[in-house]
Amino acid sequence: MNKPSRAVVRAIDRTNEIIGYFSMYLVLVMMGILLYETVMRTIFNRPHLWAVELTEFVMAAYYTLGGGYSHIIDSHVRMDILYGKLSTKTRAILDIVTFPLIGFYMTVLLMGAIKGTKYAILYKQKTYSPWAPPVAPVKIAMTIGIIFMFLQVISELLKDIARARGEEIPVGEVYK
Amino acid sequence: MSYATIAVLMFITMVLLLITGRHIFAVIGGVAALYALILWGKGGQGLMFQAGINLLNWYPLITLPMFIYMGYMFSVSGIADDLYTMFHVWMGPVKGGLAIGTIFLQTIIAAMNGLSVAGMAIGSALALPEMLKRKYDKVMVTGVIQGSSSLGIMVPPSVVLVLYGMIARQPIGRLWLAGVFPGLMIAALFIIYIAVRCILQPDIGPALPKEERDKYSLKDKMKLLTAAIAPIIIIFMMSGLFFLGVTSLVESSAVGAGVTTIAALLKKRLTWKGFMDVLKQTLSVSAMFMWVILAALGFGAVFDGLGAVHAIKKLFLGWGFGRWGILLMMQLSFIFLGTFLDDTAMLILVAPLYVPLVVEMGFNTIWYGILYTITCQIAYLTPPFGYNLFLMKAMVPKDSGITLGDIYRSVIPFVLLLVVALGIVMIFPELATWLPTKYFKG
Repeated sequence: MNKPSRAVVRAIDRTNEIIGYFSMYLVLVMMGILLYETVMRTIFNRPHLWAVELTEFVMAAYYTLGGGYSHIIDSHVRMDILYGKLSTKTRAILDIVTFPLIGFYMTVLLMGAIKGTKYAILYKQKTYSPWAPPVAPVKIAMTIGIIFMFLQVISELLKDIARARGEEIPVGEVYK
Repeated sequence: MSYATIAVLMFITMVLLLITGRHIFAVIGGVAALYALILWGKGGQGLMFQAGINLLNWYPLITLPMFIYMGYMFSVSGIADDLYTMFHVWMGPVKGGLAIGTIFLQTIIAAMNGLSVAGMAIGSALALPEMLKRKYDKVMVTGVIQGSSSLGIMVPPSVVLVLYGMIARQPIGRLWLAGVFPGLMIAALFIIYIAVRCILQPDIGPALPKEERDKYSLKDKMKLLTAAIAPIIIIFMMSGLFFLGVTSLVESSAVGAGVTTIAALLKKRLTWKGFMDVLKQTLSVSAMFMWVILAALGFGAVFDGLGAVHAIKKLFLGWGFGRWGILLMMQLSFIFLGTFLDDTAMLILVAPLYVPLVVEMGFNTIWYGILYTITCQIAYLTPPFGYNLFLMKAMVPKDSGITLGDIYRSVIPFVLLLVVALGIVMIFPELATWLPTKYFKG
């Protein structure tokens, strides 16, 4: 890998690792909101309109922001009947060949996300629930998640190009 | 080109691209995005992201990260270790007792877990080495662990039934209750099979030798029974309160996760590193599932726009197989697709097409959910795309001498038993429908 791409891969991996470590805790936030609501509703008979919807928003941020980190540690499943039998080098070549597919999906997803977020901010879009919170914050969080997932996809491509050239880069780890 | 042809083409494109080993979420999403753009141009652009916004209304999905967290927390809590020891000592003296005890253990774990991952991890970490040490047949024990851990998705709580319930618009409480008897029946079938085989071939599952049995006095044995207290409390706090109507579905999953964390703290087994691992695993597995669901929903939206539901209906009903014939074909096609797709993607892609058909043919949708879940269990176990097979491969101890061939062969009897169970539930729908009908009075 040449110097500039090494710097790029390192920067993306490191950033997504940090985002991943931050997102990890969101599961506790979700649990906390729901447990608070359970106690308030069942024991004190004071239900809140916002509890479940807010949790759902946190969850959207949780999985979109966590997508990039999961990609680094190779958690996204593949069908590996054939793939699993190949050498690391052949896998890398195959991944370069199929890159347009994931690149295309991420592009369309990101374009939709930007459009949707713009709309939400411009028209002060609210959800159709009794609580009716603004949609913009969750859309912004999801867009950020998608951007960083996209960056990770590019980082993995750069790693694959290096692997295809015979460099040894471990799979499923942050690039050091 | 007719819309139905395009729908078929889209499906074929997806299956072919899946073979390249590109991430499943990317294949499903990429193909969907491509067809959306071809069909609707600029209008189709926002479809893929819109799926994520629609997902915001799928409240029951909050249970997914909660159950995943709970499964990993349970694995590190040490509750399973005590439970295993209890079954080991109590069941050990019987021929094949350790294997039967493992099935009991897995059934209890299934009642605290929505997926089968925790069962697999616990089974291969605790039960497998102990059974191998006692000269149990390696193929049999490998099969026992895989087969019985698949109960995780049948015995309530079940994430598979949550997903099915959202797609089929059925109450999840009913679906969970419907899974109780079929789940217990499957466990019973497994136990009978092991017991009979070990009586016929005593050398594949020897009873514990006398000296080992004498190590525990009756008092010790009684003390071991206390291992059951923690699981009973967890099950009551989570499923019990939910079925009593005290907590809602998502609340119950958070209560389960919370109580398991407290239990782990009380057992003093939880280290900071262990806790970080739980959080990390929960994030990576939840994100994996959610990205697949996100893409599959987008794919479903394109399918919907093509009128695929109508096309499938016409296709199946036009063959003239009768409703049972169609049902059988549906199950077979699920198993076939299960070889290409992971089960979550399969459920989200295919269930919206099949459920209207089930309704039209006058079948009970709750009952069909159980049939679907058993089919999922079979798909979990069968190569080439079986989650359990992958996990087992990764989890067997290196020095155990268990080969990939052993793992593949070991599931055969359990798959056959699941097919038998599928048949029984098909012939006697009451096994699934009686409990929810009785409990919710109608």
